[in-house]
Amino acid sequence: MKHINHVRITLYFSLLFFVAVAAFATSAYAADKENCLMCHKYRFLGRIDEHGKKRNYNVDENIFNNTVHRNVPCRDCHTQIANLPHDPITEEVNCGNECHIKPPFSTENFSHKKIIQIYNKSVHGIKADDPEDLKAAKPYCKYCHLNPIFTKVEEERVASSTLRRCLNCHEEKGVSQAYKHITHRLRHKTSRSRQEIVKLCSYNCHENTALMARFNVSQESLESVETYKRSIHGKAVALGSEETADCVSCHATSSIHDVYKKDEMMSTVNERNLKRTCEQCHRDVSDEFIKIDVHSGITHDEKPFLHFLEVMLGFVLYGTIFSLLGLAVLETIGRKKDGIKWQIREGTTWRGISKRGF
Amino acid sequence: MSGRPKRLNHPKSVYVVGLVFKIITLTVIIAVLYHLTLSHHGPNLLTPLKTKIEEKQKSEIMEEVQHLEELEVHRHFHNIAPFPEMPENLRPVCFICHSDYPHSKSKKVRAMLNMHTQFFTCEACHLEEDPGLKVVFNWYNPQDENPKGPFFGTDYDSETGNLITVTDKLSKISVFYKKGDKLESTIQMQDAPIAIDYMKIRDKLTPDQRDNVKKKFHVRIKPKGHECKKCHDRNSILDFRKLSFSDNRRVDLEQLNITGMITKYEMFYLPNLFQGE
Amino acid sequence: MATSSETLVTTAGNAQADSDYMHYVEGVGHVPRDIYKHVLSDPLGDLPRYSIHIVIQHFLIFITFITLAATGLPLHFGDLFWAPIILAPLGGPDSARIIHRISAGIMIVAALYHFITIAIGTYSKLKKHKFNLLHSQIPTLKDLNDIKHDIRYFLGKEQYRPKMGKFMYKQKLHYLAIIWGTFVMIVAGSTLLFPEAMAKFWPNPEFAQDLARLMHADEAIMASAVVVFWHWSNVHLVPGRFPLQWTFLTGRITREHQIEEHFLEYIDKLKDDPKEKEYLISVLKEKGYKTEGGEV
Repeated sequence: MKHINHVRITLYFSLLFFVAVAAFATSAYAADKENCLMCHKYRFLGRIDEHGKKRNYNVDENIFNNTVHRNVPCRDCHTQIANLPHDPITEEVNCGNECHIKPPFSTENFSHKKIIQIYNKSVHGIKADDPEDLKAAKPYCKYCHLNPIFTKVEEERVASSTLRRCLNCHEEKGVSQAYKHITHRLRHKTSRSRQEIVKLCSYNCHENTALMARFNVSQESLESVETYKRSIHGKAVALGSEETADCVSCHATSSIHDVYKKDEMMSTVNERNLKRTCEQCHRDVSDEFIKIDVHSGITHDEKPFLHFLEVMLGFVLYGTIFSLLGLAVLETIGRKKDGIKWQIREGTTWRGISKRGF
Repeated sequence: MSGRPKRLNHPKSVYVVGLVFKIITLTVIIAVLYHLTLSHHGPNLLTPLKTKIEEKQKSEIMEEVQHLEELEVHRHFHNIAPFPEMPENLRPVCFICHSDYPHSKSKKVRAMLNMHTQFFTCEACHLEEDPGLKVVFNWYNPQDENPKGPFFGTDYDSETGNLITVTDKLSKISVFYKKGDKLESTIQMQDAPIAIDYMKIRDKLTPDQRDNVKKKFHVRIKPKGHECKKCHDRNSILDFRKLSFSDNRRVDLEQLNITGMITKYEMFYLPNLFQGE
Repeated sequence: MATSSETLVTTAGNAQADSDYMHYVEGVGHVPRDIYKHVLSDPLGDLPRYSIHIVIQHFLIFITFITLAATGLPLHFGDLFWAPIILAPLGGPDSARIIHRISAGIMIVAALYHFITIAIGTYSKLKKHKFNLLHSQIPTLKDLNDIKHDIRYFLGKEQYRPKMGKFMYKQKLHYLAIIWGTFVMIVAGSTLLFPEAMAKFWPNPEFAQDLARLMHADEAIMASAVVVFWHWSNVHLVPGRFPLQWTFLTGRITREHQIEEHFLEYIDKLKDDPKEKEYLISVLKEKGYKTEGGEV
């Protein structure tokens, strides 16, 4: 009885609400039919808990409307919420849930299941025999994916005349949404910039050598961020290049989540697959070419000769600079003493009197 | 060619060129010195000194707090919208000890109560009213003596149906005493003599003394704020019209209870609240 | 000019007997080593030093060198704050790389142009039996002595600077360094630019690539540092040269500079230059030296 009452009241309220805002019913309410935003749109909906952790539950409605999840009803992901107002939620959202969205040309409900399966097999997926701290350190969906906001790709890449043709059959709103949906993913392999990818992989994870060392990764892997940043790929990307390889360019296929250790057959950087991987950018890739060290670190143990050369070149460099600079200073002092002035005036620079005492 | 040359001095303009050469040389000297001492490309001659200084300033608490904040970004998942912050010294004295999330006792409603700090000053709910004086609610902004709005949450955007976006995000509804024609603020600011004095001697007080002084700030503050229905009701103590709320917005705020929202809070959660806070 | 005439008389008196100090030139007389302190110079240059080809080559190298440094160094030091500031007006790293390659191409052309100029010039001089080691960049044992002599002069232990040819020890050193540097940069640069093709060319592609990465960057830093701290300082910033030596534009050198640092070249060219002889005689006469001929 109580339950029915609740439903009726909710219905009544929804109706009233829609009458009240009938003039401006837009996509915000498409995903939020249950009006979760009534409370969650406020900035300081949140708390600091007993352990000193701040939790904020605000969802900015204007931002949410511009994210890839804007059409997904809240409770499709937040399934634990059964009634309103709800008790504190302790369970994490499962990204493998099916949601009530049917992709175009499909009769199945949408789900991230497929990519999660690929991901779970990859080196980053949590395996049953992983030690606890490794399990904790492995990235989970949300660690890399914050509800992405649509980024619009440069207009020139899609002729606006082509888009106009769509309007012959489709609504403008639908077309612009489809346009955003596709071009958001058209940048290159991922919708993120190369700089974002590098930051994502390195920051707090692969560049944290103390953390990585705990998980018995190879020396090469331990230094991978450092050596990448010293390579031409890394340097160009750091400066904003859009043409140079980031981490995902080489370490994953277009499924992006299938990163494997180098010695596994599935790995894009496995010796057997390396040629195909390099060929994404380089032409005329030969067996010799793939021998070139991409993450090249010149260390004493690995490349003793090059390391020796590097150190020697450093000495030569500073030796040259400082001895030449010293000679120039000595020369200047000597000539100044002999009566030279800095500038030529009245046709001569030897206007001073020599103090050399010969 | 020989004999007396055409000109005996440099054209004046080339001194600019000389100056440019000098500046570039000087810059490169600085770069080389940096390369030698601190740059990680060079031999790092001074880096040990630098790390020593950095280690002295390192705080584990600070690192943990920052780490937790990063984790919260991932847990939150939905993009956390940037929000302006009131300069520390313009906040009321409450913020010496409390944050924007002051309610913590009752697990069921604390988030809901904290939500109100976006648009209410503490006193708006927690003021122990002087029975002899008439209280008036009005918008308040320490940076603007007479804030005009539009204020947060007072209307809907006709295009999106969301709350209107406003530039003045820091004005809050506060409570004033009406004295004649004038409104007297009930807020204790950080530049009040007692607050300045307290900040000056805070570290010198014994823990007991500090507790004594803290009580002084709470003389006119009641621990339990207003009940929901005091505002979310047709007979609200807030004059929504005067506070420049639109009619749509006023109706929604006054009639929140229609969903059973407040009734349910009172049934399931508020009993705790009464005991807890 | 008249200010130091007194000193000259005293020094002239002491050194008259010193054959090293006085240099006899037929038709002029004994020329004192430090006459450069008393001659008149046009800052834009009095005497020819470089042909128009050399001036053009220098200009090409000058422009491309700066461009190469401006596009290459920020890429190498990409994580430092100034790198994006320098790259921004060049259109970011992607276009900077293109500019770098074009500049390198022009620089190689300029280097080839120089090589051809020198080769043809030397060949024709050899054919006419006019080749003079004094006017060449070829390092000799004399240069070592010149360094020793010059350092002693700077320290105040030697009275006069050494007598040097058209290219003094500093310039020979620099020229050799440039030849070596250009060679290393071109080889290492093409290994970096064409990794696919060069992988087939080098016996050990991994080592070659690593070495190229190391050498290209190191040589670039070395070259930039030497150009700024050595070349620019010596040519434009030291006393007597500030604020600018015009030689790289006009191809001419001031008289006092040529006599000071390229004395032997001056004397050698004096033989075939009656106008300059005439001028020098007038200066010597004014200072009270004995002269031969010259009716000024």
